[in-house]
Amino acid sequence: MSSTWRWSNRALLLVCGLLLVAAGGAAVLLGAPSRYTGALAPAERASSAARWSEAWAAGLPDVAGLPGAQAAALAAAVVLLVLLLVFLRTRGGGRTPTVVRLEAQDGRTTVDQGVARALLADPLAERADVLSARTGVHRVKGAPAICLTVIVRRGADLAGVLAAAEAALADWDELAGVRVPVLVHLADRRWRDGLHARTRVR
Amino acid sequence: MNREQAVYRRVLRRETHSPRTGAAVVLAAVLALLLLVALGLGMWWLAAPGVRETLGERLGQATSWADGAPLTAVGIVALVLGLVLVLAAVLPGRLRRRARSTDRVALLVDDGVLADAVVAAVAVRCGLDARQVSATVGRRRTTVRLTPTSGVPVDREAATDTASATLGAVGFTTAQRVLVAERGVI
Repeated sequence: MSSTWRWSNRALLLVCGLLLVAAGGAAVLLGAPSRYTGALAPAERASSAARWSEAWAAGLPDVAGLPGAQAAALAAAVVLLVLLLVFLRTRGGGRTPTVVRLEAQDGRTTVDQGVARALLADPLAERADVLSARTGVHRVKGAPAICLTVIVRRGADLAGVLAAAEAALADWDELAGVRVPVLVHLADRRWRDGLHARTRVR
Repeated sequence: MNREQAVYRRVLRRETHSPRTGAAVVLAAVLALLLLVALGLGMWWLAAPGVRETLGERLGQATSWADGAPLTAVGIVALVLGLVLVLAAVLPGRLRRRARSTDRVALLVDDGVLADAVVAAVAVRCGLDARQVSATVGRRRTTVRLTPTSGVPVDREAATDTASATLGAVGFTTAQRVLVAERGVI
């Protein structure tokens, strides 16, 4: 439920993938024996492209005593590095500690996500067929939404777990006084959940 | 469509498809590291003129082998890696989950959870040990494999109905296929 711009993930993968395909294809053509690539004549094309780029780089004006091509390469590397760091910094955001925020003339009331955990996750975690339950709050379309993740034991009564979640949600709605969107996720066990006992002993 | 349903639609779309964040973060980190190294070498190159010859020689040595077969091998590796990245970018990356929304909640259930529930319910209904039942929940079809106890027939119809009812209890429907092993176990 994070607010990551997913298209940017895919755009980065696509651009790098296409560049690698182009570079790899060029390397294969250059490295292959000429009898296989005679029609393509890659060496001649590569050398003409190199001559053109060298002429273009030589025409760039000097910057602070540096040749123009080197200054441009340095600037491009710095800009690209900053963009990559911004990209890394912005992955997986969107979490918020506040589930409900009510503004009034004489003040503001906020409900922390700990309240949502106590009302929604804790009652479910006590069920015998549930391994663990947790809540997370994310901003979706500008407002908080709750993700209630329930990891169930093998062969759990899913309809019963879902009914219990909806009952807990009814309590939450009554307490909060506003409807907050809720995602209930009945999730597979993670590798570390295999360390739990198969049954709960009381 | 009210705002809540719009939120559910967006969230369920996002939660049933891979975000590709892991691959993108690894790729961005590797690129940033390479850029840092290149920037460091570039600054060294510019700041210490005596280093240029040394760096040029070492670069020449490093690239001299890249001719013929090694160059082709490197090219093939780059091609394969590039194709993997392109496919990761363009394929939808559906996760093994299914989703629906009700009046109040958006529901997301992992296929493995549904398969476990089907196995438990079918095992009880057919009087088998859970180890004699396995289930796979696919996008369109649920396949249940039964290994009967030797000499005791299993009710295929009951297994089909139970699997269907188990999925229906949480609001999902798929076609059912029940496969019974020819040889039973003791």
